[in-house]
Amino acid sequence: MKLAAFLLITISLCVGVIGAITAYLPPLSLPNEQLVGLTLNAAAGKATIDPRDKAPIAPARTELTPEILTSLRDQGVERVRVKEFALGRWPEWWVFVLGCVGLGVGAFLMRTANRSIAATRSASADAVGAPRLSPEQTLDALHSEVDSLRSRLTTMAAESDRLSTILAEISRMQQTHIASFLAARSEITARLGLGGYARLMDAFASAERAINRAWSAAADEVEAESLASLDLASELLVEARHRI
Amino acid sequence: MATTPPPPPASTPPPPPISHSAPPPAGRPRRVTASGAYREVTVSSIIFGIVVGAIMNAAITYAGLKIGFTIVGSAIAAVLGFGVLRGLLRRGSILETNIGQTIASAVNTTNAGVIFTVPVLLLLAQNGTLPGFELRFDSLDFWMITLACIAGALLGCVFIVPLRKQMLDIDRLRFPSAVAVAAILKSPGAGAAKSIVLAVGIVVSMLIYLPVGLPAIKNPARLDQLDSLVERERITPAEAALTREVAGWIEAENAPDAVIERGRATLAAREAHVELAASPDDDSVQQRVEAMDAALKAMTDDPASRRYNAALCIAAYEASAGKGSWERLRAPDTGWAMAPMWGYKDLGLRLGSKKAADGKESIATDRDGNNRPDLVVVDDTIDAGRVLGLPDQMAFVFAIAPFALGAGYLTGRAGLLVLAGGILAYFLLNPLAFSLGYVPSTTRADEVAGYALGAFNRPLGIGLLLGGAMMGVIASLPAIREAIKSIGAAGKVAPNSRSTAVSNRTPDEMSLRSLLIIGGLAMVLLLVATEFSGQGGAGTMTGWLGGLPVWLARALIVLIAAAWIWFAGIIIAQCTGMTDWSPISGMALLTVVLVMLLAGKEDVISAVLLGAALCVAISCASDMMADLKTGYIVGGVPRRQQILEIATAAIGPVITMSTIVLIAGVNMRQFGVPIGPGTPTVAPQAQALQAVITGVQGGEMPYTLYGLGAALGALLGLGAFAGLGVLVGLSMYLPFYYILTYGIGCVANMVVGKIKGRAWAEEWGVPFCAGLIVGEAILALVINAIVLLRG
Repeated sequence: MKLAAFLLITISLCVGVIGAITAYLPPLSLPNEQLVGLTLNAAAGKATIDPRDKAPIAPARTELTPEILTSLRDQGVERVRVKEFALGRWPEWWVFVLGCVGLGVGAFLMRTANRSIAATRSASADAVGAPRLSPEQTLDALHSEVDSLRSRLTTMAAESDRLSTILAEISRMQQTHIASFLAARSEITARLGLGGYARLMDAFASAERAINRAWSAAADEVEAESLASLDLASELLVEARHRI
Repeated sequence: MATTPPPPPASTPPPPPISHSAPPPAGRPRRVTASGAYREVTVSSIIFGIVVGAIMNAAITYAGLKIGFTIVGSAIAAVLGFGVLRGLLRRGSILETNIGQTIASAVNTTNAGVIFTVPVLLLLAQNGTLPGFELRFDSLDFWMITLACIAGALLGCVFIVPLRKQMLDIDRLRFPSAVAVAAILKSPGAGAAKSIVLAVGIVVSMLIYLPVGLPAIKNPARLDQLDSLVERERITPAEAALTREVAGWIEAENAPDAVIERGRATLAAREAHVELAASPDDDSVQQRVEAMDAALKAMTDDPASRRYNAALCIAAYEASAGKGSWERLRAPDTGWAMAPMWGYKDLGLRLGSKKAADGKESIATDRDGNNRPDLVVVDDTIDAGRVLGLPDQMAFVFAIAPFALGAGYLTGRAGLLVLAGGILAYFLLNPLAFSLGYVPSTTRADEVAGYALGAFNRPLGIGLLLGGAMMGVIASLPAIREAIKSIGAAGKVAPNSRSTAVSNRTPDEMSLRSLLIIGGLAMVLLLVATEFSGQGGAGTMTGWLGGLPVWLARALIVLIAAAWIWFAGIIIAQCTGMTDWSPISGMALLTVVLVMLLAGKEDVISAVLLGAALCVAISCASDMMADLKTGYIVGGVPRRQQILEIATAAIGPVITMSTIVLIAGVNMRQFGVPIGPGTPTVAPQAQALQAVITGVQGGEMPYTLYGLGAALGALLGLGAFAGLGVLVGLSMYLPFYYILTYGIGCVANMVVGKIKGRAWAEEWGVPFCAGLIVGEAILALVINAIVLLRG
């Protein structure tokens, strides 16, 4: 269904754009009363058949007259681009509306398909007991890693060892637990709603920023700041855990 | 059952407690302040930021007016900060350098908005639309426009702060350039390997970009070079012929009488214009000026002398009168052929020859009519479509732009939607429009892309952006509401917080109260600026608000403009965040159109003033959000960056406006015109805005296309991804050759991720692509500086 929705949206967008393009392109098949007096917004017709000769029959900003219209029709010109818009001069309005309807239907199908996929994914993961961490478990694992890092540092004598460990461990956390938690956005949003997700991320993002700060401080060899940031990150992760 | 704990192991001493206060070994940089705090907001970072920002602002204002070159400058400032704060002063921390680049980019970024809009008032003064308009330090208009730009800068910052959580924490917008800046800042701790990768990226970018930028550096051609330059299509045969003709004048120390007379008349007319500027009410001077202008026009229109420009005629006159040297004629501004440095065009890669029935080169292979197969590689693009034999109306042209490649890679999957939208627009819709006869008969197939961009792609694209952004805001309302609630609680002790460390820490954001105060002040400044500039509070309004008292109409216009600034700031920040492209010019054009419709097509000064305020606002909004993204990655406190950006917001507009006034003053003394054609500072972007204003006054704006595009954009945003309308709108708004190169970067990200894994693609791809972005920026700055210094 998702593929069908995607195709419908794409085709409807094309149809809608083509319909919109014609808004300022009244066909010359319209009666003269509707066309005379309009001002061209682009050149119309071609004076010669030489492909290098760009002289038009009527240049831009020319006001349409019956004589110009006759010359253009004789040359087989079907449409001209004008400055003025009027619904009565837009016979293809229905093409645009068709495109809009298609986009609306496609959006509905897409949302339905996404909801169905999310539900299926969640159900199959629960049923099979797939060995993936839930967002709560990911948060717990991240919190545990931060605390464990903190404890390990107290056993290291050399400052350089402590700093390099902080750098290495934080880089690993960013690529594993943090990335996994961020990837679970749709699952969390489905459970908590967008407002609840926002409240959760308020705390989580602050924790992530504190972890990033710990990395920067370690890179700058300011250990005290790095450790303080890790402590703050740990507290914020507890806050995030409660919000989920 | 409790057990007794085992005895501790014998003889192993416990590890010493971690000492945080022990000084580092002598000679090692200490990145803490005198009080032991981690260096972040320091006097050196603030001074560095303001000084670097001010220099970049003035320099880039001049560059923008002369050659249309502007740059945000975060990457440059980060590299400079690295060198100065960390290298020279040996104490700059990562966060301190971040503060430095935050301030520098904030001071610099306003110039793009000002030079796009304000110079148009001077151009309109020259063509008679705004007779007598001047920008001088003692003119009220100068101060009111500056005030409006300051107000815009404050509004842009204030409006975007509440959206930080939603854009960065929740939506996790990528901001590729900000990621690149963060990669530079983090390079000290990233390890030698990643720093080398970053450096390799910079070098690769410079190597790729060098033949793109070098041709901008030109020297006057020697006569023996002319044939070669024509062969390589660096100059036209007409330019070569003119150069030979002028060389003959130099050798003979003589020029045709008509040329000399025209030079004399041109100089006299300029002096008369300067006299008129000093005495605008003197009718005799006015009449003399008109007569001289008419005589000069007749000389200029004479077919015999049309190929000679004003500078050539003046130089010839001065040389013949003994006031200058004949060698002066050998200069770029006189039309003397210029030999550019080597570029990709000199590779001479052409299509295969294909003769028509008359023996001449067929139009299929020779579009420019010089009877030679066309080049497929020019200095900045590769026409792959012609090599592959695609139909002419499918413009398969790639920009040679390492920046776009890097930005595409850093954007990743989201950028594929921009590529898809571009392919749809330029490979399907444009050719379809061509085959259906929606394009003028005089437009060749190969010109369809260029025609379509102006006629319908761009207007529809802007509409899609508006509608898509509106839908995105509606979809994000719950998140925005939570973010604003969170800001409202910032600074107070969080009653529900379970930890004193959490509740006692520095708030992340500026408080809502301070934002409201600053925003209110900015609105007052904007209202004052609108009331006292141009027509001011007097006169009547002829637009949609024409029936209201003028003071009320102006207040409404300011309110509407402020709301529009808020909305446009969101659009720009979202576009930059998702893709690194920002349609600032499109938003500025819409602002000018909107104000002219509200106030009347004659109220150009108000329209441009508010347009300038908007441009500055959205530049600041986009820059602040990008800086906050960089701050997020390195662990900076957002509130500190926000306060510093707002505190320094006023500096940029003052510098830019002052630079414009200085340049205009010098031009008036030398050329009799303040800016534009006839001066070294032609203001290309302002000329584009001038065309729009002329279009609005002439009723040529396709308003309906904007509306139809907005409807499509809103409907696209209804689907699973609210930002889809914005991305598709952007793809129709931008020239396709940049989108293609950008798309290659996006695809490369997906492919590398598939082959080597996402972690590897992120870990090694980010520093390399950061190098691609930074390398082109640095080299472009250097080359343009050389061009400007050489005059």
